[in-house]
Amino acid sequence: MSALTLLLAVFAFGMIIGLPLSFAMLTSTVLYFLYEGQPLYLVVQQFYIGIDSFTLLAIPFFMLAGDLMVVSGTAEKMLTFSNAVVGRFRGGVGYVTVVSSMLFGGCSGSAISEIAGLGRMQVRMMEKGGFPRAFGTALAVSSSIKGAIIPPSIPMVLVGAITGTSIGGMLIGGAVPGVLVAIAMSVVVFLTSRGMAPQREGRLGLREMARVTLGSLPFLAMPFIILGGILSGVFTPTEASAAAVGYGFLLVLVRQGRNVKWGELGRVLARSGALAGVVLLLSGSSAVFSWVLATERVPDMVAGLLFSVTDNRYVILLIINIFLLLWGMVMDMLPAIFIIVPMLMPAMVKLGVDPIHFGVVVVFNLVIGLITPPYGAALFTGSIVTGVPLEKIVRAMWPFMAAAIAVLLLITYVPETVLFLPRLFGLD
Amino acid sequence: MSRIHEVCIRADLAVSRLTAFLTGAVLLAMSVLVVTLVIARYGFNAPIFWGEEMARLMMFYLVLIGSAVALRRNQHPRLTMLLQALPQRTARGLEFVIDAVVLGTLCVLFFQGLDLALEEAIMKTPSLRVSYFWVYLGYPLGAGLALLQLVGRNINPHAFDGDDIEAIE
Repeated sequence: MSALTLLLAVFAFGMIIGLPLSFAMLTSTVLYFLYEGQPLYLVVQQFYIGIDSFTLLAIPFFMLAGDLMVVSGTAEKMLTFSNAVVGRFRGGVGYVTVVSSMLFGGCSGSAISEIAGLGRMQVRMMEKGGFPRAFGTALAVSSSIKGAIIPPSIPMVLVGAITGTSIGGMLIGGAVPGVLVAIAMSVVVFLTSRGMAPQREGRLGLREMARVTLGSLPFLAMPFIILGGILSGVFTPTEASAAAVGYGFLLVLVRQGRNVKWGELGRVLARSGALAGVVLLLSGSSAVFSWVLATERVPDMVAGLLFSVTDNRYVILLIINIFLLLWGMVMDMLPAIFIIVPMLMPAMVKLGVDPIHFGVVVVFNLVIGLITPPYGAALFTGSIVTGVPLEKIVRAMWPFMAAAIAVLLLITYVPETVLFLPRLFGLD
Repeated sequence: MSRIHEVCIRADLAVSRLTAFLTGAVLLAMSVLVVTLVIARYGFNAPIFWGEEMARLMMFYLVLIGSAVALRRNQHPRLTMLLQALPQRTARGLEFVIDAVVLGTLCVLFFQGLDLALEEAIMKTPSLRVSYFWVYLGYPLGAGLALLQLVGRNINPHAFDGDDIEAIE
């Protein structure tokens, strides 16, 4: 048995029996090194190299930024604002969810923190507005994917960092696809909410409207700080993430004054820290794992295999999309980002695909995986938050998944949807 | 027996709270540091030269300690399809095997990390000029806390259920 076979077999077996993915990678590499007679310190050394990067600091910060907006109470104000703007249309609260998710996506880099933080408020509101809770949960979960697509975005930072693609370009490249998803989901709300007779909100008076808008300004300033900072070239993405966190803390202090809820703030810090630990443990583990794969020349084999099928890039993009959608159904997106993307990126660039375009398409695809059963982290979180069983959410979710996949095809075959903004701002 | 069990559970709660507190504290310190770096650079045009290295060091600790918290709360992504399909008793046995594998891997991180810390202790980091011992100490510290959380999860399984995601009503 070759050492590579051992590595892959242990990894696959570990994953199937339910070993956490990061440990499946670490365990298989430890056994590989033992089998090859190589020293084990390579594990800790490569792991350290994998996460010793200033760029990756954006991950914990973008995770924390969204949570701080919820703690400070400004996210709720933003929800009220969205309600005042789009709540008066038929299917009202449904659009409010779509719009508020989009705005929240401009502060938060993760779909999970969006569904855990904002989703709770959205579902409560939709239930009050006449939507069944299962439908509301399905909509909130589907909308949460915008959190990881609209800049800031943790997976975009990761893909940029490990493939050496412009992170600013990747982040900004997600803006148009994120808005397209919001539009597609609004269409679905329009088509499906007919039978549910949800209430409309009354139109607000001018004075009331002004008050609500003013109240939401502290929240709406956040996307401007992040996007404006990166677009103008003032901030690197990491600095923008730190500025976002600083602003978030400021909002908490200003709005809660002497009554800062220290306990809640502490819980949020510990939670964001633990989740960042999860992401970066995977980052370090896959650095070890990919290092072994690279020494075994696996990326070349994969590229060779892919090109042996066809060298038409449209067909290859379709194959990759289908493969990643299937992957996303049963697996987490992070191992795909850490193991598969670095293997495919050089081959795609050789085919003439723009690295930012490919990176954004892959992230978009894998983020859909967060809401597709049987394994979908955002889906699970949505079920925990609302208490609606998975199968009920899933039944109400098909149209939203279809909408997301339609947008995926659009951004795959019309690269300008992704590349227009990065080119405009010279970030490619 | 029950007295020993009680002491263990208390000790476990204390260690778990400490681990979660450390995670939050490191993240807070890291936020303050990097915000300060940004302000120093743009506000006062006086970049702090050791800042980035310090921030990376903190993140290394954050990853390992935060992973320990996540281990306790079962947040590391994994496939549970097989576990759900199996009869309960078999699944519990398999969970035990999984924990054993995680334990073994954490031991590798603990001892290899400790070795690395001792071996590289004579080297100093480029800008902070501290011994690499303090850098790699993150491994035995983080892996040690994770080992304690792994044990704690088995003696006191439901201590932190629903602690970080609040459900409606």
